[in-house]
Amino acid sequence: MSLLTRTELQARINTGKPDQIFIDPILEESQIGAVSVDLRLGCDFLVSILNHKPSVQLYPTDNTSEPELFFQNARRDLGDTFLLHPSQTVLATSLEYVGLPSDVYADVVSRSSYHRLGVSISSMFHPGFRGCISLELFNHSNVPIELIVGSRLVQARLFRNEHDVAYFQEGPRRKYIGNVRPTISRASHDIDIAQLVELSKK
Amino acid sequence: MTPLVNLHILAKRFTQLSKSVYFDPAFREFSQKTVHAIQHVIENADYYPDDVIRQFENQAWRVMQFVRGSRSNDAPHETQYVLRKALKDWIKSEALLSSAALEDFIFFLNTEDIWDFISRSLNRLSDQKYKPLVVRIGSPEAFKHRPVFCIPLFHELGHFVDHYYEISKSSLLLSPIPPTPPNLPLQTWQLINLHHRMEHFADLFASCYCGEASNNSLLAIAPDNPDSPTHPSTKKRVAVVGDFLNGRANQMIELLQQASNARAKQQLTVKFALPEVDSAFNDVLTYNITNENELYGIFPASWNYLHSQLNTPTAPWIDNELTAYGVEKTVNDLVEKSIRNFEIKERWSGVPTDAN
Repeated sequence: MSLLTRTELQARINTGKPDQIFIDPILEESQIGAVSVDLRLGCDFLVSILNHKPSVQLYPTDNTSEPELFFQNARRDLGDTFLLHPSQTVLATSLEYVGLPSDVYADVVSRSSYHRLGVSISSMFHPGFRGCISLELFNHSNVPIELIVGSRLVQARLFRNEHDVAYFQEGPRRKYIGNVRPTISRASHDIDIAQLVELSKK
Repeated sequence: MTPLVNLHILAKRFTQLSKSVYFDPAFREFSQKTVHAIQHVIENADYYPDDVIRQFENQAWRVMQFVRGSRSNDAPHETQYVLRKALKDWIKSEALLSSAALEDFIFFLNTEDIWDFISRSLNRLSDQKYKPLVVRIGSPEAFKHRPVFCIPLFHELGHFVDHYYEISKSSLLLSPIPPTPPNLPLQTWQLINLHHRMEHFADLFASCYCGEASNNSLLAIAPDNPDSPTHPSTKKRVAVVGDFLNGRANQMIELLQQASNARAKQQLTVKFALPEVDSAFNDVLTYNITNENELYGIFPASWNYLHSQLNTPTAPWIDNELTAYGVEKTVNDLVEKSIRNFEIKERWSGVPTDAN
């Protein structure tokens, strides 16, 4: 497994070939760094909200505690600000639509400038991933932070595997393929959850 | 619930809307000026006749519906972006495109112009120079993120352009209508012919941008409708668009082109180029739209792709578990994001990406 460097990234990004690393749009070439690609904050947000239910249930006994009832959508345009409050969870996505070939996976982390403000993001994306990169924003500081839509919020480090992985062909249907907006957690769709609930009844 | 009480309520609602962070500045100004007009009417209720107040109140309610739906959270943003470009082909003035998000499977255009009414009827109002060009269209809220299903909005935009230039109306002077059928008042017959010409114009307008998809979406909504007082039969409508797209001679097309030339100083011309989306969409990737012709063409191209996959799934990402809902969501999302990427690149570069 090897970390892709600038030369390798430039050679594989948006070539139009089956093994390309697809990132669209790349607004500036400078987004491709020495060992990573900067990605930008997208336009759509899902903001966590309180409702009268006490908790999010991953296996709801009725449909009033499902995760989606605890989020509200918001949209901004390029250049608009979005306020991230302390201890608030917000789902966002990258501005870019990303397609990873079967031999590349990506670690996505917040850029140092935002990490220092208290915004930390850490995610990984499997080979074959398709969609806007999901960003789970959380403000660890004690002051609200104004994020700007379109700013370079995260960086993706891309690793080449020795062997191809047919991630989307193996196992159950992947839950988040092709997403272009933030998507509520589908943890409740994990097949283990139903089994565990049954176990707990015995 | 008297008109004056309702106007107070409307003033409050418009004021709340005008403070929304989701509005663009032009809509905020529109809301603020409408509030000013409403307050003017309330303060001068003794001066204006009751029927003027009532008509103004009715129009304000309808405008509220559209303005509310135009907040960025609710509007079909990407479709509106393309519609605005199409509108600019015909009307150079800045237009406010406002939407009503409906809980119904209908598309429509509202041609009432509250500020036209204001300028004609509220002579004491000082804001008479404010004359916004507002396009008010309605579409199903469920289609907010389904641009492929919003193709009928191009037809509605065609009605707006027709209404603005009075193209179909003027065609009645260029070519007389057929003889009046027995037992039908002449005025009614004239109205039927006018409405039919308006529908043909709107169909042709839509086909300039969406090609055959405009016919296909008509067939999906009204597959076999007969002639009615307001609409020609589906069969006739499809035939006229078919003749237009295939360059065949057709009297209705020639008449409307003549009228369009005379009133709008331009003719209906095909603006779209069909992009080859299969390769990208089969790989669940966005399509890189390179110019405005492709921007329009992605609508018919995606319509074709979606319906071919629904009928005979061949895309690698479609398996037995994926429902029709899953297929259309994926395709509509890819189209939405493809359009949005084009818009983002255009804004970033500061100039339209199409060299023309």
